[in-house]
Amino acid sequence: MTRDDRSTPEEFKGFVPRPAPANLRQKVLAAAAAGGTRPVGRFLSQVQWGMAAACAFLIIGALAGDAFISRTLAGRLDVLLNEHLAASLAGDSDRAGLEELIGVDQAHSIRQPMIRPRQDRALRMEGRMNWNDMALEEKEYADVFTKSPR
Amino acid sequence: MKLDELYDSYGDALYRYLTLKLGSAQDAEDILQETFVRLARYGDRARFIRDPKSFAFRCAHNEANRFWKKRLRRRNEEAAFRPELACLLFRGPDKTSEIRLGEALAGLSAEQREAVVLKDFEGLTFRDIGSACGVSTHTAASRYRYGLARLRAFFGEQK
Repeated sequence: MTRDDRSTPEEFKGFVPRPAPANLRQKVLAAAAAGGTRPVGRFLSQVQWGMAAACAFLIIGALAGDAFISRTLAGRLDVLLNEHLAASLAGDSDRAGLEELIGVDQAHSIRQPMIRPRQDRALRMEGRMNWNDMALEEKEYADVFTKSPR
Repeated sequence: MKLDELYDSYGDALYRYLTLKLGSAQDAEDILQETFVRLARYGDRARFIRDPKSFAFRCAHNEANRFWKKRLRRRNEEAAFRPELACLLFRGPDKTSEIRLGEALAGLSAEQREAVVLKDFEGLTFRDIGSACGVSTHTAASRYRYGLARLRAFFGEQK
């Protein structure tokens, strides 16, 4: 701290600050009371709160939904994957093995992989097949590939 | 702190500061009003203000700058401190000494004048001045020291 910081200079001795005009206090405080709560500002503030609440609701909803899906559907997906794996392992030629593995009803509900991936890709590359008409043509292709002339 | 308490504590000092900064008592009244409107808009958030004094001075400083920016856009003029303003702001032993003080203050740059008046007449610390004017404490102190040296030189010449 310097000397200047501690003492008032000699030149300023004897000077006293004058107060502000007497009526200014009332004027300033009235303006502050009127201007400090502007309707537009208040409305914007409410909109901000509304948006914050909506965002919080969405975030909580997303988290809760995610948890619900994880808990309820994950188990179901697991079952479906197991069924699919079982069907793949069993292969379309060993229907009996598949029925033994997962039961007759389940085996019946699983569609046999009539068209193998490589064939399917080849057909789609030729433009002869799309996913919509695949179900209709399945039987035809199955006939072709299972009873191919030697 | 409530607005009326804030006004009772610092209203007069803010008015003098704004008059000094703007060079006009009328403008100072308007800008003081703007400053308090701005402070009122803080509402409940005002409780987070740690140092109401520096904060109020900073608000006044910003409002004054905003006012000058607007005015400079309209008319190309600079804030000028007239020696007569010292008579309006400070009461001295006699009219002559008030005018002399005004002349001495008019000889300083705006920043030096600000620092000197805030320090010696309004009792702000260098930290408060720095915070109010948006500069570091050291800058505020050096502005004050340079200003004081020029004032002393002025009064020395007068003697």
